[in-house]
Amino acid sequence: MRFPQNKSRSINFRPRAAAAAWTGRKHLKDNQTCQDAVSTYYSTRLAVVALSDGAGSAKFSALGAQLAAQTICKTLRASFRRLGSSNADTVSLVLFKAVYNAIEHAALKKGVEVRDLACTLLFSATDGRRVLLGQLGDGIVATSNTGDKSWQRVFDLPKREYLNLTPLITGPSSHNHLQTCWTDTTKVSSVALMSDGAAESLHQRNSDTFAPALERMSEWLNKYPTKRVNAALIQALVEQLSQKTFDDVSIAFLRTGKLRRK
Amino acid sequence: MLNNNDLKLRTEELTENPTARVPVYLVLDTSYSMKGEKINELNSALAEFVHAVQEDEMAAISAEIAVVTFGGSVTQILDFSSIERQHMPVLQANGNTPMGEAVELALDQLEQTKRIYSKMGVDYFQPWLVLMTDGEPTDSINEAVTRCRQLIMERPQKLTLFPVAIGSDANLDILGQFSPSLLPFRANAAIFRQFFSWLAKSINTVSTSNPGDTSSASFGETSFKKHQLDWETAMKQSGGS
Repeated sequence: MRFPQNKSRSINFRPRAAAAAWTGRKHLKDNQTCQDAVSTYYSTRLAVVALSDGAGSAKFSALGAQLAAQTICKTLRASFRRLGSSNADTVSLVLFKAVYNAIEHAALKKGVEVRDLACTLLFSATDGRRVLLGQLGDGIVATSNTGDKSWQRVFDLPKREYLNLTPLITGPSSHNHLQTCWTDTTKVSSVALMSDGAAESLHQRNSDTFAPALERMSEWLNKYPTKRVNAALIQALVEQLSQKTFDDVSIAFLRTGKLRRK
Repeated sequence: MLNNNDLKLRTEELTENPTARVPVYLVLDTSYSMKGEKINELNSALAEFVHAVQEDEMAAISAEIAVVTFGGSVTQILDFSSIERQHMPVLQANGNTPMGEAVELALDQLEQTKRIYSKMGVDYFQPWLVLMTDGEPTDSINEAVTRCRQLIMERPQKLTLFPVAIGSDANLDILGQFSPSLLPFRANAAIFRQFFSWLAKSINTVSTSNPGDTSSASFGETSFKKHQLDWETAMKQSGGS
């Protein structure tokens, strides 16, 4: 028997996203909440991941981080298609404004300064064809491609001589620090976002290479339900990554997929 | 079939990075006038300081302390190294007060250490320098003062200097030249312990701070100013000057 050939049907990989955040030992000791926040969204058409690290010196940075991560997810969910025809600078401006406005609104409502909600921001989104990547402040955005299994850092690390100095969303001229870029799913099949704390165990600074654990965690999204992956990520953060740093730890993964064509 | 072990990471799959360093330089007057109670109290306070930092889990692996004394000659008695491996020698008082030379040696050593950190890919916090004297310098301090002020006024700030005057003979005007942002604190021998206890706690705080936290320079200066009042009050209450 001969089977009919349907040349218009593409491979069915749905975009997938998973993320987790955990309180660092310093904050646990001081009885403080986690200042890292993550947010994800995925459907058959779009996947978005976002991660934000609240500044330790900012009183309400945990709230700032939550707002930043959630706002990016919400904005990209609503506007990805429209933004897809824009260049990286326009995308930066639109996204920065959305996040800053959300933070400013929250600050006004609380009667505090915007800088009291200071945080960093990392994100990625894909519709199965295009992939958007972005970063403001510390942390790492990394990508890999199917078959390659090696990971590359996407953006240059902020140049600074001393620790404790990182660009933040609410800092002076902070919109200039938001880096974004477009790529596509022929070049990227997986994206990882990691906070500074998580990067201690996953990114070797001297050689600028990534630990084998990164690929393995990313692969979980191919093999297991998202709920299971989220739980496994939390376990990894709690039992291992948080033991190598005093900082909060957070990580997010996105597997790009190709759309079903009918 | 779902494999539970597959969803667990193994330690060998993670990577290691060097711990960020907190470099602290103690520049201490051991001239003849420090003989007696002052040098004895200083020795006790220093021993307790090293112990306090060693006892803190994070500070023990990130603090790097160096000590130079100036009493007759300038001597580096402790090189920069992890405090886990260090043992503070007992100080002896003798000779005059080559303060300028001592501060310049400390600054040279700090620059060299920063170069080593950068070469090895080791992150570090802004360095701290503690300058303690009970008198006046017997050499020229112009170059040392210029260098210190430049580093302190640069943005981001490259050095935090804590000027501590010991006893009533210390010249506050001269000491004050080294640090445009902090007034010298006049301590007596009885307050050394409190000062070094504060220093140990501050190092512990900085060693666990993260990007986005207050810079170690800003934290150090704010904390020093805040505690100066407490120390002065304690000295008045104990009848010291």
